[in-house]
Amino acid sequence: MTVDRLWRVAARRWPAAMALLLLVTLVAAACGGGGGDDDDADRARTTREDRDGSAQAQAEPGAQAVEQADAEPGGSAAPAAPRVSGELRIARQEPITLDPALVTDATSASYVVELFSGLVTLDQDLNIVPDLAEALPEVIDNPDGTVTYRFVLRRDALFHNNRRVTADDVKWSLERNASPDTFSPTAQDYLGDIVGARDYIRGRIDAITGVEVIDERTIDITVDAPKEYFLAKLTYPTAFVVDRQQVEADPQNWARDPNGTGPFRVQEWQLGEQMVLVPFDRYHLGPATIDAVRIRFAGGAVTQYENDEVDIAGVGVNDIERVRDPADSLNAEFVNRAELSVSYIGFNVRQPPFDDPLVRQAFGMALDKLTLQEVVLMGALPVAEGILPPGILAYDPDFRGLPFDPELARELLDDSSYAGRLPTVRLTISGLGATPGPVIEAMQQMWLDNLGVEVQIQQVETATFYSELDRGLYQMFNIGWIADYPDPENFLDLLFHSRSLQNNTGYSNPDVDAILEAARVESDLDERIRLYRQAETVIVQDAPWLPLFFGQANELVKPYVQGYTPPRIVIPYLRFITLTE
Amino acid sequence: MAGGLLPFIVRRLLLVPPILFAVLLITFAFTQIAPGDPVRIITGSRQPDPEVAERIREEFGLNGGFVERFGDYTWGVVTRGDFGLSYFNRSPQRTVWELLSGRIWVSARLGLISLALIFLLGIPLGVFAAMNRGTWKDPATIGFFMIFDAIPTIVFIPLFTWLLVFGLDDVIRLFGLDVPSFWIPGNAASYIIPLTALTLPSLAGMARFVRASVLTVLDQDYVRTAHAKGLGPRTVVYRHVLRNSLLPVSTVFALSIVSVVGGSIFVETLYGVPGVGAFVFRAIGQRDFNVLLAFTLLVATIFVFANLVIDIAYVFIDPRIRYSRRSQ
Repeated sequence: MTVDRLWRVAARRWPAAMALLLLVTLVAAACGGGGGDDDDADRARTTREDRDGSAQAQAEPGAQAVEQADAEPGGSAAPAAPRVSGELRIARQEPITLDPALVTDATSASYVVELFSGLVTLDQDLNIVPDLAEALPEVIDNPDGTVTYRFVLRRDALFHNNRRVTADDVKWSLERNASPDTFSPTAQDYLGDIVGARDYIRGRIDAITGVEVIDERTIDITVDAPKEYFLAKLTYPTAFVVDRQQVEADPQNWARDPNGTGPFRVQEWQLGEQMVLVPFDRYHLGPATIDAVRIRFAGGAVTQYENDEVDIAGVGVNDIERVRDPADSLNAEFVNRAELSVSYIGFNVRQPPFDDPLVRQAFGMALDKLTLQEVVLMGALPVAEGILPPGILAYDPDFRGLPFDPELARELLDDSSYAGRLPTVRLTISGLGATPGPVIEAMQQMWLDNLGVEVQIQQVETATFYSELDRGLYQMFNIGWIADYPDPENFLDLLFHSRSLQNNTGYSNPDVDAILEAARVESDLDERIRLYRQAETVIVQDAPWLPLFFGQANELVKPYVQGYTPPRIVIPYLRFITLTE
Repeated sequence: MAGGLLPFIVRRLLLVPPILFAVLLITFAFTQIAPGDPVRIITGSRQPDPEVAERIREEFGLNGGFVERFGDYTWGVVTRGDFGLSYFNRSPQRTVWELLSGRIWVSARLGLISLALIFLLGIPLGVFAAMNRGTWKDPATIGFFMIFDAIPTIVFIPLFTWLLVFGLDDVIRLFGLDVPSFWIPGNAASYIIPLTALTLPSLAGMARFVRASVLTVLDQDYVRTAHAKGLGPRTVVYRHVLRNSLLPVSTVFALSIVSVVGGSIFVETLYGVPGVGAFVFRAIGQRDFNVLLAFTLLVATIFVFANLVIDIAYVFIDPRIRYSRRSQ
């Protein structure tokens, strides 16, 4: 090659190399800063969906897109300017799926509950109320110990194409959602109590024996034992009704424009940009009055709210102090509500040093959660003494967990089997931030000051985090849990029973197992509450978890939005909203 | 004029398949050794029943050996143009192409406009700086735009957004614009912030590149000759200096096309632009391997052909260049 040619090669390659270098630097920088912010927002809300949603989970409920006309002059000067349009504008991440059988994340679920429905649902106060069924079911105790729930369907329950919902639709939907060919990740958990369901899900029998159509409007569902929480499980999308004709016609793509039985239907879905939902005007529980709900798949920040681009916005830690100040103009539009979720530090009790309960308790007592709450979180979240959040049956406002007691903590550590020879301790969190966020950093400092233990922080991106967590590779980790349905079983049994798949600490206490198993089939309400409180007390003392904070929705809501309170778990709520002019 | 150009093109075209194959192989290998499990992402934060996980793995062809799976994948791409399905977006089941195409178009629109602005503004700036070498105007011009180069996107976007949306919104509205604080589909004013964030930081680099190039040409004998034979300074700059100094600039242009298609992770994420950069970044987190493979292959293809086009273009831009073996 000639010199001239070489020069050109150099000229051509250099910019590419430099661009690459620049990109690498930028990735590092941007992941750092950007991720950090996300983490703050995340931790403030500490709900599982935020963490799962994606690496970029900014998704506070909130944002919303304006038609040009709305956004135009004057709008932003006066944030409370009356709206004339009957369209609600919110922001939420794009759903991964609209198929009730495949939903696992709270984001997708929040769409699915508006588009579909099941036999029962949850009202705004989380009571179980009839939906497609005209009343709560008649409960029949069978001689063999099983329990049959007899549901009678409403006469006016319709699919969006105006076809009437029959008992056959319910049976077909349950079997379709649980079918081995559907690959539902949730069927086992939500439908597994039905007689025959487990064998059916694994493909060993052809029908769920416990689901029986009596006549066109009557269906019997038989559960293997009296389980008080079973009805609550039926409020989850896995038990929702889908349209057989539509699903069979196009099994892979029917969910693009689902023919559901819920209060809304999809009018428009622009991939990656936005979705518009419109009310189904023959919805059996009373149609929504707003014209439409425009959901944009990005945003939700307070800036957008202030600029009148969205009607509801989530408030992160960075803005919380400001909006709580009565002198701030946004204060009057600030609402908060406890969510049924809890964030915690989990210990891997199968691995040193946290196989010794004394070490776990020592770490717990060295944490000053009140200071974390007041100083670091600016009061954005309530401190969690126990595992069960307020609003869950068996929650006890007087419950006290491990106290903050640095002296006792040090004594416990000295009495432990790892006294003086504590291995390196590492806390693993999921995230991409340059810093682990202020809460984690403050905890790290507290363990150092109060216990003399230097805890290393390891950040792992979400995909790796969950699969390594399953394999028990972490010593201690920080995540959260949000209720799938409002029952203590969904926290205590699911997360602490030694044989539960979701028990990620490896905690195993035969006494606790026995209490939890007794509570499953206990039909006396007071006794059930007593059992769960007993289990919670033992678990908190054994300390496989250090509960940190309960979830709380902190939101701004425009004054013209009526009938809205932040939902405490994923429930349908859009149809209750009205917009005043 | 272009002796041996055809054999050159043929030789280069023959190289394209092996290059793309190598890119595919390397990317595919990366997806195999990446930590994390796509099935675990599909089932959310909930640990799946092992039997269900196994069935999902089977369904998505995640079970075979490396050679078998790579073979299947490559065969599908080559014979049917089938880049597979997204693991993550099931029911509705999206194809990789459906997920990527719309977003590439959004990124490309932004990228092309920004690229045009960078060249339209950067070239005159560079020429201006070069022509004023030795005066304060040269470092002042370059220095001013270096400021934007030095501000990270994650700082620039929030600052600039605040400025346009709250700080100067009354001024902006005089121009009939209402800039949203976040991307709003279908609102043309949404382009202003991301375009600025994409364009401003690159101006200094382009200006410096052009300046250096112009300076090299200014020292050439033929420029002195042009001056000597009495041509006006304007004519010398336009006819002699500019044309010759833009040869390396054309190279940069071709290579920039790649970044146009690739989108910008940071700008898109920070301003909520539904583009391909932010999407692919998420797909990495979701281990949606088919999306990553298709995107990598697409970018590699564009890169290879952009290089080829620029090599051919040289022949026309610079008559001295020959690709035939004899010419040297």
